[in-house]
Amino acid sequence: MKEGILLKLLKNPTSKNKGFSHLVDLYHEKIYWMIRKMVLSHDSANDVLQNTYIRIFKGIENFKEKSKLSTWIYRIAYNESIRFLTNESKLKKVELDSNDDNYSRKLYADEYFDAENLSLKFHQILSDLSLRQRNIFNMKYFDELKFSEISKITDMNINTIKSIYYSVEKIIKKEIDESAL
Amino acid sequence: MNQHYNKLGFKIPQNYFKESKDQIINSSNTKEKSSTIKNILSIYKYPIAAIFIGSLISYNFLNFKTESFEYDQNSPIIYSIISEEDISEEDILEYFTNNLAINEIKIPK
Repeated sequence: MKEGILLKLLKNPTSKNKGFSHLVDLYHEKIYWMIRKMVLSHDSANDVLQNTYIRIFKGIENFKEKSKLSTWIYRIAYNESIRFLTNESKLKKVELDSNDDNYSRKLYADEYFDAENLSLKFHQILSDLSLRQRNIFNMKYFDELKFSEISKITDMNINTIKSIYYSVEKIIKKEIDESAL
Repeated sequence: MNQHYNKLGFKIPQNYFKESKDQIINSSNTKEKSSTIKNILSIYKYPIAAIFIGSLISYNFLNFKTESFEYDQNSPIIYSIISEEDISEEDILEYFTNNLAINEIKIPK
């Protein structure tokens, strides 16, 4: 379904529920994985996902269509994840530029984490990145979002995002090359 | 999304996506029903309030009108106003004496 048609359904009170069902069908897995990579555990991701849908459902009438619907949805999911991490860390604001000391602990504490089949090296590299670096890398590498979309989602300058992504890519390549030797 | 996800080792419960989708859609339907009731109330709240206030005022006004014409014509003061005749203190005293409930006055034994 095209975004324009979906928006028309969502903004019309009589067809809002139908539109919302289509929206959930289209974006459910994408939003979940985006959140999961940020909050790491499945249960936390499920909670954040529900809050994200509540915000989407309540806020759809106020969507000004300045960006794509998908970008707006990802932005809500991103902000909800940051809010969750802030509450979790009991800090006033989560430090995006510092790395998460609990990264490995959170992964291994989650029953829905397969420690057997994963690339441990990959997670080790990710855990050394700051939250900001990791989020940008994840959105580009896993979610395959455009730099312009990531810029709108994170509210950051596009050139800063490109610079962060390429520097992280370099770090990962270097680490993988070194471990292969 | 791409196949790189496999590198992360993240698992999900069986049928998670299907079940969570259904749960979210069902809860949104319930919310929509309650919000429809709220919308109806929000549209009609001012007319309902206006009707209520209007009926309250008209009820009080009618009561006021009927009560205002119920007066004791035997009262010397009212009689004097209607008839424009002077009244003496004796008339007033006599009126109140006649209207006193003598039985209610308890005389100590």
